[in-house]
Amino acid sequence: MLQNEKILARNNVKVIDGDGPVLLYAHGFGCNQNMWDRVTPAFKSTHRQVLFDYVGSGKSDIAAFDADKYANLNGYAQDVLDICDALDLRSGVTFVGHSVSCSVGVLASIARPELFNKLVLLGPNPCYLNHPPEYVGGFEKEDLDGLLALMDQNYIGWANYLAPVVSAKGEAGAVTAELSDSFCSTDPTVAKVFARTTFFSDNRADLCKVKVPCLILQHRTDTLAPTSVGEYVHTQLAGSTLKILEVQGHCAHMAEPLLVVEAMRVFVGT
Amino acid sequence: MPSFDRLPCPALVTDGAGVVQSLNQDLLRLIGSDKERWIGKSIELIFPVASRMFLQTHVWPMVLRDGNVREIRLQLLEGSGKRLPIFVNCQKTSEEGIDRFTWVLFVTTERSRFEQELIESRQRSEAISAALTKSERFLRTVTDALPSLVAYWDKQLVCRFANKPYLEWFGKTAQEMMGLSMASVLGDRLFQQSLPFADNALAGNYQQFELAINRPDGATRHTLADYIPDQDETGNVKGFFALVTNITHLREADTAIRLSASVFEATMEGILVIDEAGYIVSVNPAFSALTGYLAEEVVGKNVRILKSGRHNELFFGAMYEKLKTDSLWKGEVWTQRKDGTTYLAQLSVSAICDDGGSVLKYVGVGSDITEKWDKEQLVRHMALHDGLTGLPNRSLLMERLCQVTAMSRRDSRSIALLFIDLDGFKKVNDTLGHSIGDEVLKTVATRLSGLLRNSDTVARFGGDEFVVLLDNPESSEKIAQIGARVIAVLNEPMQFDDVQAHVGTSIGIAVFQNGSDSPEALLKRADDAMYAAKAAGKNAYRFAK
Repeated sequence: MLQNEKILARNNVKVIDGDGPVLLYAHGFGCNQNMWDRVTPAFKSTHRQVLFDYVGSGKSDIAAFDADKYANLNGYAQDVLDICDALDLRSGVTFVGHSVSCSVGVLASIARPELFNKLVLLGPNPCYLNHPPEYVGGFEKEDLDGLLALMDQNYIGWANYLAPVVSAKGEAGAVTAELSDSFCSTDPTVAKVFARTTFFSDNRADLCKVKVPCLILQHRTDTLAPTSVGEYVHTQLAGSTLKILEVQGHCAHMAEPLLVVEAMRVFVGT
Repeated sequence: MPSFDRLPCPALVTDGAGVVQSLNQDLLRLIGSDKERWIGKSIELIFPVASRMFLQTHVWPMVLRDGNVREIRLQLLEGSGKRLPIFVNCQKTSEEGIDRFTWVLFVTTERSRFEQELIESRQRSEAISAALTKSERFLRTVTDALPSLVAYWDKQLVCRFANKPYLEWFGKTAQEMMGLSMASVLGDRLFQQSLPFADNALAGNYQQFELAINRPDGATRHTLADYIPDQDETGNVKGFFALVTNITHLREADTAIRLSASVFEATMEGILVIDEAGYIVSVNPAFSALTGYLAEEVVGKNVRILKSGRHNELFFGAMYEKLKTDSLWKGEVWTQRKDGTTYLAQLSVSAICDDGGSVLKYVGVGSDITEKWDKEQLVRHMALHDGLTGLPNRSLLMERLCQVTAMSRRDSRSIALLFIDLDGFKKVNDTLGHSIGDEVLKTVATRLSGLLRNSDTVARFGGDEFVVLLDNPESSEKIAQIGARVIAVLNEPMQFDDVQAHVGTSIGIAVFQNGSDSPEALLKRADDAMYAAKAAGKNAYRFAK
């Protein structure tokens, strides 16, 4: 298989063809590219849209998982750059990231500023852990340990729940696909690596290195990314735009996709 | 909603943003407080933080996409602060365009034993696999940094591990190497050579052997291989570690050492190695031939046993200083042999230092140049002495005169110069022949030498002129006495077989005091006084004014 095809398969890259500049969507931890399904139709006629799954999420190639590489957000950022290269994208890409992908986009744009011309950051949090007194990310280490324990329990639960389905269908491949589709990752170990990387990364110092215009979409009430964090990101990203979405929770693109679409339209200029 | 309250389990209804619309009594019993306090608040508040995170990262995306979730394990935050394990189920319904999310919770205090065990065993195996990964990473980090080749072969002689140098040596990636057989990695010839050792290692015996390997580029590499059996607690061999060290450089160094050793043994020059404290570490056979000392007689002794006593401490101090600054000293040293005789050694000493510049050893290389020195001394002697009489010649006299006048200027010693001219020597030559004339000159030389102290100098100045240099004579009277005795001894007849010769002498005496004269002026004054003596009737001495 050619190198480019390998990359496109590895990250389950999907391209929604359309005329115009590229929108590259990156999903957050616990999700996959389907989470953008309520946003992409709005840009079908104005943009070429690229979606993908991180390795270990969605329908990515689990064999490409590398615990060392993905223990750092730069590993994920590298995959984003790989995807752009595989698609021969050289400039003018608008990166749309949710949650942890905001940091991934920041890292990718620092590495290759010529490639991106705008970043849309939905619910960014450059550092989830609290660093009192000057920074409140929202979480303590034991909260993350609790999350990892919940993941353990739920993944096992899912496996049990799906066990009868496996025997009923009698075909492992189909079930795996089902499982990937219904949940974020087929492999709890992989998901835990992603969880640790997501919640232990501290990318605050990278924000000031970003050279492209950014739109920060901040949920009004968001446990994972409080308003104070959005304001912090806004002050650190020179020339950025902060837009508060009247949404509770962390998934405006799913709960109130129209708000997201509207804000994006203003920002990307269509 | 009366039916809602009748549900035999905790339940609540929210909108798509998680804002609580209503909740039932069962839930209120657990989370406490009254209903109004919860209405309009976020569903998040009934969960502890970790569950809120899971809710946001995993549950909401699924609920929003699929419209439902089933049997999510979360925890409920009880009014008392206690955490209660629950199953969460959610179903979206739409009425008149408004989405409602109904959440039904099951308390699962008695969690299935099977599930708990499964989780625990998963956690155990994860811990083990993490430890293994960590230890393999550690092993790889350590072994990749080694210059040696490290590999692990299992009982079937299949590669299970190879460090970076090993992979590079055989031109393979780690992925390619894993699972390859030893035969395919090593190639036929090398495999056949290694197989007996591999078999022995798999039988539990540690193996070490050398192997010369021909590289594809034609170069030969010398390697030292260790096969270390890997045994479990019961002694079963699971495989073996192969540690292969490239000893080509060692081999080459070994050859170089052997070459140095043979040079050391065979060279004609004496070589002496001493430590930084001056104790002899080793000597070569040429040294033994030179000094008469066998190696076993001098090794461990201080190098001072070789001192001749002909150099003072200043000489050795200067040598040491030079070695300290330049690490090299070259020169000539009088050295004492075992039998007590001395010889002049042409010596070069090098300081061998460690990387930090501290002296480890001194190496001296020397040869006997006494003979050469003797010849040089002879040439020098001939240049400065009169061939007929053996007396110092004019040049040497002037040299000494310069020395003593210089000394006199320092210590005010007195110097007297006697300028002696023979009377009647021309007549001897003319009547008795030149050979008798030569004998006369030799006799004069002998008689003059017999009169004087060692510190004085008698020189033949040319023809029938002689000069006596008296170093620090006691007094003018003493000088006059010497002048008179010179006249007396030279006046005595000289008998050569049947021929008798007779000469007289006129002497001019100049005394040097307090740096008044140059050597030449002093000589001129003595010469003038000699002529005055001659004019006054010969066979007399005169003091210069």
